[in-house]
Amino acid sequence: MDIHDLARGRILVLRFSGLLLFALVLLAGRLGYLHLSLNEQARAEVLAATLRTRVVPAQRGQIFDRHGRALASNEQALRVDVWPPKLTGVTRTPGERVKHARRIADLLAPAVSASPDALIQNLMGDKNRTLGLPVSDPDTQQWIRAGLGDEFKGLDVHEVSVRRYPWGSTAGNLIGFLDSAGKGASGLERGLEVWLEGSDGERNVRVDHRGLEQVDPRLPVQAPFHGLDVTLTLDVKVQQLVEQELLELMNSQEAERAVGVVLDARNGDLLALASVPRLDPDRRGSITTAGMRLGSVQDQYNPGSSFKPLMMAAALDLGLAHTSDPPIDCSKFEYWSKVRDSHPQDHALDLAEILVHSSNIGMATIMTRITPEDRPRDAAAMAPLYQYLVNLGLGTDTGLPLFGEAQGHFDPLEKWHRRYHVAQIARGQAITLSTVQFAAAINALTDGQYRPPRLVASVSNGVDGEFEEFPHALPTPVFHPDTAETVRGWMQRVVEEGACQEMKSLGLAVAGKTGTARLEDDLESGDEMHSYVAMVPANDPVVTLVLSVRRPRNARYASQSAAPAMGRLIRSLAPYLGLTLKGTRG
Amino acid sequence: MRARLAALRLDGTVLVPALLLITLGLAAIYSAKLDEDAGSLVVRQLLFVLAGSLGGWLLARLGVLKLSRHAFELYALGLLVLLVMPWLLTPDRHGTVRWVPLPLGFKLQPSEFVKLSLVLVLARHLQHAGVTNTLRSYLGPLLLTVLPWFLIMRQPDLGSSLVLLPVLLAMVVVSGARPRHVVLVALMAGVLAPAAYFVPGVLKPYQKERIDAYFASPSALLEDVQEKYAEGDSEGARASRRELIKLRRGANFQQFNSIMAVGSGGLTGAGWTHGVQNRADQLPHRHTDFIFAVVGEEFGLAGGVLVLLLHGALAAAILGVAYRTREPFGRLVCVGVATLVGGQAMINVAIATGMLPVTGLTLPLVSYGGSSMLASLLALACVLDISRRRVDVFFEQ
Repeated sequence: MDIHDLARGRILVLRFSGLLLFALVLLAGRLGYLHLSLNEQARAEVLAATLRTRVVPAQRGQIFDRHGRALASNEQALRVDVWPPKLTGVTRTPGERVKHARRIADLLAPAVSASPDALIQNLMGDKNRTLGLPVSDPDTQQWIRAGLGDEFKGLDVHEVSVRRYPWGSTAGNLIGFLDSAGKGASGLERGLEVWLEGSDGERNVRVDHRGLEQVDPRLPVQAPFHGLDVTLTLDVKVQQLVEQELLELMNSQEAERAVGVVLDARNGDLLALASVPRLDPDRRGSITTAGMRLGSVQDQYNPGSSFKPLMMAAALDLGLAHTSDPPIDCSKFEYWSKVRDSHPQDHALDLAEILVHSSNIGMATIMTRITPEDRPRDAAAMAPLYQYLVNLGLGTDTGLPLFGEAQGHFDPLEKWHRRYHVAQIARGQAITLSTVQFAAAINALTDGQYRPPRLVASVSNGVDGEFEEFPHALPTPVFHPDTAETVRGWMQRVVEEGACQEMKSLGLAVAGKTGTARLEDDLESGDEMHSYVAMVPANDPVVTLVLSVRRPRNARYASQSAAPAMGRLIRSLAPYLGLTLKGTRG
Repeated sequence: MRARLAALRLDGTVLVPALLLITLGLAAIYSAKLDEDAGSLVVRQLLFVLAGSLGGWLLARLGVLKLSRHAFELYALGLLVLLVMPWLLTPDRHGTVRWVPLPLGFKLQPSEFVKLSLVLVLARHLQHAGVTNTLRSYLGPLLLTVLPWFLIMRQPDLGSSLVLLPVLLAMVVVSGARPRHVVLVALMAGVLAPAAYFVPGVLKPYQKERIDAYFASPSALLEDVQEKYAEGDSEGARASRRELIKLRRGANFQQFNSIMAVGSGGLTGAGWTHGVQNRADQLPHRHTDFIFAVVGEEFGLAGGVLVLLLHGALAAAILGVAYRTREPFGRLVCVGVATLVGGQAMINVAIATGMLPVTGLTLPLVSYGGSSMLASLLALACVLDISRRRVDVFFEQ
């Protein structure tokens, strides 16, 4: 063809135009197919690929003591999320990437308490994931906000809530800690989970092609319901003093564990619920199994002689003994030779002296009067004593919001075949209880009424101020008030005539009683549990205290271990509680 | 407007679709980079338009005729630049050497200008030598095309190199090549192109992966999911969906997401700046090579067809100039430019809609990019210059 043939050239241009038109029509058809036929499915795929539902975590409720001091709180911290490939720059040469990563590692390492070398390994990774680095120090936070996030691409700085325990080890095992998922793992954090955890909200985030999430404020958010704040009856100062004394007791006695409970005698509020060894929830690495155990609630043991005041009060109320009774011969227990006194009595003892000398024979003699001479196996006759134990809250848990609470144990009435059983219980054997149960039971000697221990005072919604108070449970009458007063008086004599100088020299009227008992689970070894119960002031108790030490190595009797510790504890507590000399209240 | 254009002797049929495409492109670029540096990109793109217009004005002042006299020199200069680039420049993160860095952060892609110089040199050659339908007459144009094709492939830039072949075919066809010869060449290309896949060293591994993924056909899988759900075969639908997810995460994720974006647009789209994939940054290079996906998602079928119509109108206008011009050089240049701009646009749309495997190629006048915009505007300036000189001023005996 001649290239200068205009007509032919024009025909060829038209042909070529037709070819282009055909291609255009083909493309338009393809477009129509995609837009109209695949529209619905493509839209669903796009949404599935680009939107993710993410949890908006609820703020966990805080825990306060009775004076509003935070025991578990939330602290706003910064979390630096790092996406290594973006941070170190995929376009850089390997040498430049290392240099850049080292610079960032040097900047970040002090802020996140990590070594630059360890950090650089993470920064040089190429995994499509973020590296969460919590930063709680305010100065570091400010520094990061000021420059780091903007300076480096691939660093995403956002706020997170971190659980903090301002009192550290104090009440550490009682408050507990959270697991890695932010749920309560032990202690009250676990027991109060239903109130503290709240309910998470949801939000949609957009996901880019690298899998990085971007928050889009235009997307709807379902707000979370934050957890409720819980106020305890606990007084953290009292708890602190108790724990200090328990630590000293445990160390001096090389004991396995020491526990202590302080109750508000007037209403059953728990002021302290202590157990050592303990733990610091903020230092997760230091947590041990022993430190996690809350012995005051989870351990149960034979109370031994410290149980005798309760049995004496029951005996008085049941008419098994009277204050006017003549002294009892306590040289021998005629029904069972195994019931003996640790120090043989050389003269007959009246009721008060039975407590003062902690006579097993005296208590057994009195309590076995419950069955008639001719019907020593009459269980029905023993039923009133059984009922006393039930009314004192023994054999069932106290309902505290703590997992693994010991219920304590004593045989059901059907098994009370012999009066020996009563003789055993009278001296604090054949019955086990936890320290908190024991404290609540002893507290019934305040005015004769049993008050279940209370640990949670109220819950409140920190956001809108909704508040719900947990009222005290109605007290259960157990002893006649006069009986309670009488026994307290005898317990005061126990202190005044006892061997423990720390108790005697307090300058306060204290009702107390020691208890030394073999551990039920370790009869062969002879290891023991020493305990001491006290009510201060004796004439009108403000607080009821129980200390016990498990397997003390350096004392034979509780008067040498628990009693001096109780003396020191009352001395340190008295100023704080406003208790002054000779039973007067400040 | 018409009067003013007439006074300037500018062809409105070429200018108006081009301006509309540029405007649409600016809107799409702004939306694509809304969460990053949309404003600065739009300003830069406007600067490129300004520079391209200035270049076009200078070219028109000079005249395509005078330029054509130096076509071989320009062509040789382009080849020289392509030849030395791999030795002088550092490869980017993909191992390619396509860009020449300029001051102020600008970059230049010489292959874009080499394409235009090829059009000029082919026109110059064919104007004189013509096509006599002998093997010898085909060798010249073929050699002129293969040289830049080889150098561009070496960068490697498969997309740019692929556009050269349609340009050659179109210009040879308009020069009078016999249809059976053209069909034969097309068939040979159809056979040789797949062979290139199997010859070691011709294609990079990532290019092979893209081709593999292309044949997995995301749109067919999507249809399969839809059908199986409709039939109640939820197990089969889930299996197809798993394949889809593999594709989304695989080498062809760009094309997969592009198809999803276009498909999700519906008739009128999600609205400007409201495209879900776009906003979620799901599509890399969406302001450049995949700008059509943004248009499809946010303006739907209407927007997509508009782009096609505008490019079709532009190509038609350019071919109209080719039809009207009385001299062969102008006709050949117009056909070359129509193929360069229109053909590249169609290949880009075909890639965005999953009809062709992925390769880096801009949508002329719409995508962000200085080199592409400058080269396109210079090419259009050639056409406008030819259009206003319909008399035989080019004719050289």
